[in-house]
Amino acid sequence: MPCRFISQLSKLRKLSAESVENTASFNAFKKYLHVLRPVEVDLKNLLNKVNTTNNKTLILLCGSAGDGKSHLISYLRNADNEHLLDSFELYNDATESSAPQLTSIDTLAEKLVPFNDENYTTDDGFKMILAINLGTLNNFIESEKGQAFSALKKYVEANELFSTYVRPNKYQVNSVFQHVSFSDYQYYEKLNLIEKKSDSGDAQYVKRIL
Amino acid sequence: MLNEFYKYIANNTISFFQSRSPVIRPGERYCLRLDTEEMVKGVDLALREKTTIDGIQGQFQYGSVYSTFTIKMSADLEIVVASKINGMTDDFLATLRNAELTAKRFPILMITHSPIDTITSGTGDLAANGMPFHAASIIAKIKDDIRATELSPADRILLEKELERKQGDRFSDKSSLFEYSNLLTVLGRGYVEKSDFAAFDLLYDDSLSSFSEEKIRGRLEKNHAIFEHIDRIFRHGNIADALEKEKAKRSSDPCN
Repeated sequence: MPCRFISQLSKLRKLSAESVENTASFNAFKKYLHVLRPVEVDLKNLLNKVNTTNNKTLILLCGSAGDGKSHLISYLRNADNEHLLDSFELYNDATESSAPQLTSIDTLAEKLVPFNDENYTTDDGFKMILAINLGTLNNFIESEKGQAFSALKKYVEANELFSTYVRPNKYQVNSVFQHVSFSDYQYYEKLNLIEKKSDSGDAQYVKRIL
Repeated sequence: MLNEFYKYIANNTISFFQSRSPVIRPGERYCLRLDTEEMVKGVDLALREKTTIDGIQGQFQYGSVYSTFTIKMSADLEIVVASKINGMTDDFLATLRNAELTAKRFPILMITHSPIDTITSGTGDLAANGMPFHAASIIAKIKDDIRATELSPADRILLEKELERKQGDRFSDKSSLFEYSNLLTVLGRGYVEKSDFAAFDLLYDDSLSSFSEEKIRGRLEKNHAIFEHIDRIFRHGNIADALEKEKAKRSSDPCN
């Protein structure tokens, strides 16, 4: 029987169950490790605005592999007191496929049917949040199956999701598509404890370490 | 011939999990990355056969879309084996990696030949340092197995020299299991066959076993040198010129 310390330490291993997020559970250990980051504040602001309407919405939570998209969704669904994702369908990992011979692009095209060119204007109040790597998003909208999603592609291009420019992640009135991109935050900001952030926007967390 | 190689990998994979059984935690994910789909198929089949013979095979169903087998460790612990074969996409392996497999959260072993990192990220690579198929672990295991297997002195020395040669070869990919396939095949079989000599860069020597250990070493070294000389000529040289030179050398030195 391993000692409790080793058992806790094992959770930090790359192969541990805790190193991959799913939306079904969010245990005390993950809650303990959770750090409030600016991107969470912006996503919550966006969710609050979306929830005040009953409009059909697809939120793209974009970024790179391993930056915490799935963790954030799981936290908001399972551990946050505001329950902002209660009315959302969660799509936690856009690199997954639903059957052995299908690709993630096939599966995305299936799951995003309510938001294709034919259906996205049908305002049935359906809401989905999609955690997606920018590379996967690009592959999808440029793929053959992505041709049925030209409105989504137009949104992605208009908002320059693939550019290196940092843009504010704000709610867009009357748009079915919304987004928050982890790429719009400087790396040091990811370490910033927001409640201690100074007026100047300096990264207090890093300053304290220095 | 490769069947023995696949069996060897399967046996060591099962031994690895059995030895770790007390410390394996629910939901852990392991990955074995091989070179080709053929290798993945071979290892998958060898694992199926071995688990059937040992009576430790279970079944796993993922919804209605996928089924595979498990390696039973205990009443509450089974390792789900998911091999990238029969057209399975990397993306579906990612689905299995992310999922909670059964209420008991069975660990998963993914066997893949994919060069991309999508699958190996967030998994324990069985070829990583400290794992059973890391180059250092394979070499140590082969050394142990050469000692433990009941081999004739000639076969034992041949395998020892081959292992030394592999370790000294700057151009071989020591991280690839396939590099050790010939050695592992012979160890799995328990003896050296005539056809193995060429795989070890040797000319067949049917009288090897009649010499003392020291002489066997000497003969093998000389054999290697001759094989490499001939091999070099066949690959890069002019065979007719080389034979002429050899003839001239022998005429000037009849003892050679």
